[in-house]
Amino acid sequence: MIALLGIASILGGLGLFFTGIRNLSATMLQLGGRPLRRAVAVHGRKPGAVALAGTVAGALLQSTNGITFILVSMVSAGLLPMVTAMPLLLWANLGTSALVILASINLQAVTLLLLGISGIWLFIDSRAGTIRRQVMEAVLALAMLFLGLELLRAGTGQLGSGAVLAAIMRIVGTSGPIAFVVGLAATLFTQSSSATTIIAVIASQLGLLPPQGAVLLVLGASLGSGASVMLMGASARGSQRQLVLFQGLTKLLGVVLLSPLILLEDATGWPLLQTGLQAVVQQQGRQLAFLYVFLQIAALAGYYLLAHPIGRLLAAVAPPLRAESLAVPQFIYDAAVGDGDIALTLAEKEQARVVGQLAATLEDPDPAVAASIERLSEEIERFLANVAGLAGETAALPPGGLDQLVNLRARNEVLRLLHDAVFQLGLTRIRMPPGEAANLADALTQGLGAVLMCADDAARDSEAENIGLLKQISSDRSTVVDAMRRRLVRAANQEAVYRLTSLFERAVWLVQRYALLLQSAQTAQ
Amino acid sequence: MDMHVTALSQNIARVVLAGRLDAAGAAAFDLPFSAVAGSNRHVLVDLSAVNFVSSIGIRTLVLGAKTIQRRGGKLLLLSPSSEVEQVLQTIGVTDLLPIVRDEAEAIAAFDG
Repeated sequence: MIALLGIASILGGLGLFFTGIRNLSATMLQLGGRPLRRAVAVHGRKPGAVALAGTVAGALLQSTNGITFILVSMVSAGLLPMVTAMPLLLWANLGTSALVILASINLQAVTLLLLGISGIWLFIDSRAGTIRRQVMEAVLALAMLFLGLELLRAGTGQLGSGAVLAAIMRIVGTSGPIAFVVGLAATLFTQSSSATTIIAVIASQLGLLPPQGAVLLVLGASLGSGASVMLMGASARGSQRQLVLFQGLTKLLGVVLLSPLILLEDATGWPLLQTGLQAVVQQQGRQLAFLYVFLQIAALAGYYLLAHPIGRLLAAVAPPLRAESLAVPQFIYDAAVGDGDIALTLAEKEQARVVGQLAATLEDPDPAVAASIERLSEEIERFLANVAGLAGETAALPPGGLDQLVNLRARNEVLRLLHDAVFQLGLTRIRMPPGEAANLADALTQGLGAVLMCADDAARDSEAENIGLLKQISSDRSTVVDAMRRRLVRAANQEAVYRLTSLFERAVWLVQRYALLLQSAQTAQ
Repeated sequence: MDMHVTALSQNIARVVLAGRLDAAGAAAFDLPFSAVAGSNRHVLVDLSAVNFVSSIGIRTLVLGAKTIQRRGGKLLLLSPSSEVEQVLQTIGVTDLLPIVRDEAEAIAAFDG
């Protein structure tokens, strides 16, 4: 009967623990995702801020997978460089160890108090979706998690006297390789090295897990965490793949850096890491919790020592996707805003990148690439607006610079509209069933493609001849378009024919506007 | 993409193209065509055996025409298929790349 109650307590404890940790992550991602994005976007270039944001995010969100997802979206959007995302993820790993430390402390009274407050609050406050309710849901999830640990402790204690469990724990605890494999396999199952470590902490506190095996189990759990992320991200590409590989690589790095110290200490008896831990904390369970913290610190230290080779390796193995590269400005940067002459030149070069993508967008209208180009255009506009804002105060613009600034902003707007028309035309073409209308779509695509390539030539080298050619081949197309519509008046898919020809006419008109703006800028120079 | 160059007269080169003037075709034809455009006063491009012309192919022809025009010459297109002609007319480059139906018309246009 005692054995049955023990098993039921362990199962119930595990259920509460896993439900608690999952609900906590989900609620905290909802609550903290947006503030984390904002904080990182604003302060992401300061090393101290990166360390603080990462640690706090890891401690609160308790999900490195969730944080990886946020970072990937920010890197893809060009809001965060990969060199910042990498250390931030490692600091978040360190932050997750807060839960492991808390689990090593007996929090029975606090747990029941939290459970009572949050449960009663959620019963009374029935308004869903409010921040206050979400906070209480997070508190309830945390309380469930700790209650699960208490049940786990109680159940393991009841079974601990049993010969079978004691024998299993003794085998795991006294055989280093078995303990390592158990830690790795358990983490692959739970997908959380902190969860595996917490269970090992409890088993150690109850005296069920011998010290040597417990240490290697935690090392195995850390490696299992890296392997788990890499398995989950096996199909990832670009930045996402880079971050997934990075997570796996740094977990391995932490284990590789600490393992020699542990194995050497076990083999020779020299006072190294484990002796140090024993000197700081008496209880074996807490020593494991601190070992978990040291693993994260070792990974951080390894990264800061090898940041450049790691960055180069990952960029070679998982290069950023075209859409990700396009969204990141290559020329403009905030510090250049104050120097009007340089700022305008840089903005013009950045705009040329947008023009250079138009023909490719028409041929292959990829929504991810289109979104990246849209973001780049917004970034150019933001940059030019900042230059305009400073121009009045500091007179930083060169003679004629104000006209050039106005011209560049007008060009930017024309390019945004042109890109949208080109993207829509490309989409309409690829969705067109075979037939007369599809032939028309092909002809329009090849024709407009040539016009866009000439726009690219003019954007990169605004010689009078290039601009003249662009003006010539983007002249009024209304007569040609009307003739096409008349010719295809009986064709199937009339709506698509009208849409295609309208988009074509609009795109050519916008190219003409762009050519005139280029000419006006060239004349002013 | 096949390309053959013959001399129609002392001042006129005739470039015969065959196949698809797509991205791969244009890449193969770009350099030799630029050499012809740079070294002859007039050029007649026979497109009768070209069944497809892509945007990059049009751009190569347009740039060749501009090179020739700079030296006071002309580039004419001979007998393009109706599909190719439709593409050229759609983007309105027939002023820059006039179309002729036979050699006699071409020679008359070059002399005029």
